[in-house]
Amino acid sequence: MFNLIFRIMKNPIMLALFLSFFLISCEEDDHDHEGCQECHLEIMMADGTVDHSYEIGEFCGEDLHDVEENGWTVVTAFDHMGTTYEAGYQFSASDVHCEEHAH
Amino acid sequence: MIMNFNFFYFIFFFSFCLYSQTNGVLLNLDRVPIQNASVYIADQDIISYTNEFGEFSFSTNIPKNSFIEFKKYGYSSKVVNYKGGELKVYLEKLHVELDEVGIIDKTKKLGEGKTLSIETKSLNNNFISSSSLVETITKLPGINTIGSGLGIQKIVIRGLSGLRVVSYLNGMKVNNQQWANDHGIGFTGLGLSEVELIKGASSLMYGGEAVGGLVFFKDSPFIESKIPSGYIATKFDNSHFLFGNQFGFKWSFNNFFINLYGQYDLAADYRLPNNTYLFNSRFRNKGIKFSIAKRTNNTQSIFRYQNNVDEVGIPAHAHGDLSEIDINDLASSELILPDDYEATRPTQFINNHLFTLENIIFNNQSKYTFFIGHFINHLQEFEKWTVPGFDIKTNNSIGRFNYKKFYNNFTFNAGTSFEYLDNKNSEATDTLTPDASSKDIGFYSILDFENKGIGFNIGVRFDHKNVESSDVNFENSYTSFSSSAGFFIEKNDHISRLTYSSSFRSPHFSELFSYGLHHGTMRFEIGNLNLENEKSHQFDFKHQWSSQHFAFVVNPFFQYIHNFISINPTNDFYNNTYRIYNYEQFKDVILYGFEANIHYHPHILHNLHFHQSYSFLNARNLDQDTYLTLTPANKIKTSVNFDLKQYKFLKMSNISLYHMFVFNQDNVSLYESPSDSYNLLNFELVFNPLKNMTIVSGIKNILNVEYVPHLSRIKEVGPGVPEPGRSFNVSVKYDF
Repeated sequence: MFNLIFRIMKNPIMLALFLSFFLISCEEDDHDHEGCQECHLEIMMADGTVDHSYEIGEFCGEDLHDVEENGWTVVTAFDHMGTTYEAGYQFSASDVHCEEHAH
Repeated sequence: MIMNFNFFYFIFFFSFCLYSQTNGVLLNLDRVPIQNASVYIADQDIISYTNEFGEFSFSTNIPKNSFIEFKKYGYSSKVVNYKGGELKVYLEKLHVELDEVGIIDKTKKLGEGKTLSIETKSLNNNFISSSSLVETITKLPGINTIGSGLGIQKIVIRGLSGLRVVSYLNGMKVNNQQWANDHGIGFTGLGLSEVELIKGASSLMYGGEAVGGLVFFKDSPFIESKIPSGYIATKFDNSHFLFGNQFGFKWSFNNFFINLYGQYDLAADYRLPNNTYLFNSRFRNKGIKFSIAKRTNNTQSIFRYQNNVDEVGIPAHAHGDLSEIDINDLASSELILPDDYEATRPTQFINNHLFTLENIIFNNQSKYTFFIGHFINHLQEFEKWTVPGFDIKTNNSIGRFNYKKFYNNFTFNAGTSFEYLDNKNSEATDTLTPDASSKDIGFYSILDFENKGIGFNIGVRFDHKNVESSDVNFENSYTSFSSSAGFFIEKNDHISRLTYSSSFRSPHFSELFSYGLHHGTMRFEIGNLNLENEKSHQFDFKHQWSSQHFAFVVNPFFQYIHNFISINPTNDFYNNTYRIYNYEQFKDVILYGFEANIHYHPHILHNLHFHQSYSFLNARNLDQDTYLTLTPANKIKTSVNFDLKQYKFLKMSNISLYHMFVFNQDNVSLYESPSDSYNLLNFELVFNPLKNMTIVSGIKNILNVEYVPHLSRIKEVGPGVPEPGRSFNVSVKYDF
């Protein structure tokens, strides 16, 4: 059996096969972003339009991940476009946008 | 178990111990040796070159009934069906020293006979003379591209794209979310030498689902040479501030062949005609490819591996009513480098691995081909920085066996294929299509006949496909027959061929199971579990004639598709932001039109080549009495090419001008806007300052035209987002 395995390893095609499996095992799936991003809210207005103008500040590292995954909770009540959002109001993750824009 | 393993090893890796050689000589009609001509054994994918005496040799016997292609610039190509013994081949010198015009003798992977209308396009210098792989292919009549910029491009054949156009890379099907227009082709031109294309479903060997057509990409052949050879190349394109680098390496020894290639491309946002930059149209590509082949007298084993990694920005990403968007909000006033090379959001991260192992056994009048392939596509789409919107892994495995038999003027092919496709989602904010899998088994047989200027082809294929998804408690089977038939007549440099093909396409996971927000297309998509097989019938007639100076091709076609699956907009919105699209099925859809092209080399100026092609298409949805969505506009493409080698002026070898006129597209469907006509003009100059060095420089969109192709995926954003403005490019390639 060991003889057969040794002969297989000498075959260059088999060697190529093993090498390519090795390459797959090194695949990196992480696209971790370590930097900071300015985030804003996407708020549905009463007339059905969407407003993107309310900024909620800069988030970095774990805080950025948290706000993108879990959403943002209002800390201090604010008024925006005629609506009051009390402290504790929860904006969902889909309401929070941190992507860059054209400069 | 050891005996079973040894049997498996025998089938895929056995080799004989005895080797001999095949020699030959290539001469012109005056019996003068032809030096540096290529001698290509198609079945074994090996190339060699003649020496100063016109001699060539291969280190093993070439199996009988192998097709060998002889080619040299300035001579008429020839394909020889090898019957054994030493080869002495004569090539006719062309009256005109440019590329051959019209009917060219050539080997093809998709079929040897003249019955099948197979178009081919060389990709040998695609990296230095073209912005992208897809751009090169769109120079063929009837071929368009759907996408945006250079980062996202897909092939459209006679108005059909996505799942209806099946791409094969060295025999392996490429499955990479081709159902959506925000995904590219999944690989680059790295290491490719040629593409073969069938419009419609006439290639039964590779499945019956190519309702629109089949595109077969072939790697550069292995080289019979103990001296390693290869190239390095680099390019810059200022439309995207793109820097690209590529290398290739070939070597052979003791009937063992290696090809190795690598590529790295980096592109920033592309410049619009108004000198702003479309934000997030940037992309990055890394690729590596290697192939190993082992030959004996009667066998060939080829293993190929390719890894392609893409980071592709999704430009014109906006929320709300897309028609109200101001393009200036999507474009930057300046490019900030190197920041604008870095991935921003939303971005697709794609990692593709492709493995194939092909074994061929030659036995006098027969050939047995065993093929296994595996394709892994991993797509992560990030709209947010740290949490993927989608994370999908698609695994596709194919096993195929083909038996080929030559008998007098008949060629018989029979075979079977098995395909397993698996789609799995990892943790992400959204899931557009659930976990699902499909198994497909097919059987086919094809008969070709060709003799003294007459030939026919007839084939039939049976497929049974099972689709299941436990996530939505769905299981269904789809069974169908595909067929193709055709004949040709060749007389006095005229060839006429008429072909009929019928094909089916079973519904894909995305069409059955979609339910969710697709950020890349900015729409909410809903699948339909009641979809049935699409069934297509196509008639294609082609007539071509050529002389030494002039050639023309006329190609009308008609296609009828029953149960046409389409994704269509509704009047409803998800979250008041994203329009809802439903998958529907239309009973009757027809596509018809014609393509034509002419080639001309003036007698008084042999170095000048003029080529013009025409493509006209009409696509109707008879159910709703409307036009089909995303029907490409009609086009006239013109190229003028002047060979400068004989003048030895400033080391220039070629100058070319390319013009494309695109007609208005007013034949639109509901919720689709029409498109205006436009002209595009490109220029290219080729230098050879040293024997092995090629420099290509060019200008694209010379007139800086602001145009929005009808098939642009961002046409409906604002007034339509234009393609790149005027751009300069320069490439350098060194062969060793």
